[in-house]
Amino acid sequence: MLEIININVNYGEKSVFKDFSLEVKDREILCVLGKSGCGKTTLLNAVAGLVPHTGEIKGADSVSYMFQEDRLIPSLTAIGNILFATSHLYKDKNEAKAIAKEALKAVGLEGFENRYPHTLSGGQAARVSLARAFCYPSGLLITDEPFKGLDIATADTLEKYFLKLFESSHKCAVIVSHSVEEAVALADRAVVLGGSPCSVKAEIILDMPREKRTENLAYCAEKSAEIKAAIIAS
Amino acid sequence: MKINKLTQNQKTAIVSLLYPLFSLALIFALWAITAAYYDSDLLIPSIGTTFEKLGELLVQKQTYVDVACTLLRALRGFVLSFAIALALSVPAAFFKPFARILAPIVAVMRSTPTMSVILLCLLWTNTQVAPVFVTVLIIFPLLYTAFYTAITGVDKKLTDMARVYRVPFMTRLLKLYVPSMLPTVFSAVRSTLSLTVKLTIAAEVLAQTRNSIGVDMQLANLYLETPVLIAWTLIAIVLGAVLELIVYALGKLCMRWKNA
Repeated sequence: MLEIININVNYGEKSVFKDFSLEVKDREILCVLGKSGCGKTTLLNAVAGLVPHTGEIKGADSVSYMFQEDRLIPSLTAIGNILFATSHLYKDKNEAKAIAKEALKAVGLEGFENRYPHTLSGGQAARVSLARAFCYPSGLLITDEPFKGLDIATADTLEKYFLKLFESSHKCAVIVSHSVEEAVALADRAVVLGGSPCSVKAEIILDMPREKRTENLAYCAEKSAEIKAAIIAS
Repeated sequence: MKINKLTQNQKTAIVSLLYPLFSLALIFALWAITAAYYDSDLLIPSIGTTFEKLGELLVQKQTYVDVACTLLRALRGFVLSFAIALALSVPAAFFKPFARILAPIVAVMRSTPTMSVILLCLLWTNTQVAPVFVTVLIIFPLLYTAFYTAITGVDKKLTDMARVYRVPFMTRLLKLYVPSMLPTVFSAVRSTLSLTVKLTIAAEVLAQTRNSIGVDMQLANLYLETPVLIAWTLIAIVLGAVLELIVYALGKLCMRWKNA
């Protein structure tokens, strides 16, 4: 569970967040949307400890972060990039390696362990980044537009891998996205941020189970319209 | 070997050899034309005369002693510069006040005329140490700047990723910082290593250092043996080129992942 309690984040004189609070329950996927520049990435960076803030954030002692870019180290192989983030957590390096191999297999990259990032396609690099995020043992996964820039087919494949890994990992997740379709496909709840300082302008609950949403186009259309209207109004 | 039976890699290798060979042919052609125009071995000796003198030098044991001593002096100065530059650039990159204190010192060293440095070193040190000292004073600021730029230029997105995943310092240093720095470091080493040889020889000329290419060049100049002077120059050029080639090969080995 993630609890953000009355945090304040400033960039110089500008107050980005003032007394901002938000909660994400266990096993919940929360999608954060809003206009460009409203503070969505700043919120994730505050949770990850990359920007200074006052206030309290509970449940973020250990965070898996899937960034907007793949952020793979060019001189390390696919498995090397995963081990870079995870090997220090295991006494037995072979165990760390086995888990990394399983994660690559789970995202359909079996056989790609020794490939360098510059030999991978954008989709493949994103999958390595996803595998790294899920390999890191933490209760919270945060992602910043993880499927941005990918073609529809690749993004769809990655969404499936994301859900498969999420279901088996007992994490809660916060996804920042510009894609309303992504929010409707993945999230249990969507919040729309806006204003200055930034606050929650709307909250949309997606109570239908994810596996049933693809069959119920009317539900998806209704929720998409609700989210779009909230973003425009923010 | 028939052209159409060569692999693409073999064709690429042959073509890439043709460019430097063409350049060399151009240089020798210009040399030959100029030498023929002046028709004076004192001013511009012919290619034949020069290579004859080069041949005479290459069969003398003293030639190899002088080359080895100059090379050792150059390497001593370079290794010292490298070590000091690395030792200072790392704390400077992570501790801004230290970088700010060093900045004017490095700027002064970089701007000081090479001849001033050589003449002052002759006053302060002996003929054996002067070439090494000169090298350190001139090469250190170049390497320091390159290393500092390499460390501070490591992709912030990757360092943020390492922070989020709480990667230990040594792992970050060895698997993120060092590989990120290697291209800049090798590029700086390649360019400064041949400069080091040139500086060492210049200092040897003025310091009259025993067993050195510098003194050999100066003696050839004193006795108006221009072919010998140019022969020594060719030896110095080859020395610098061989060092650059070694660094290039080392770089390829250390950065194998780039060609994977």
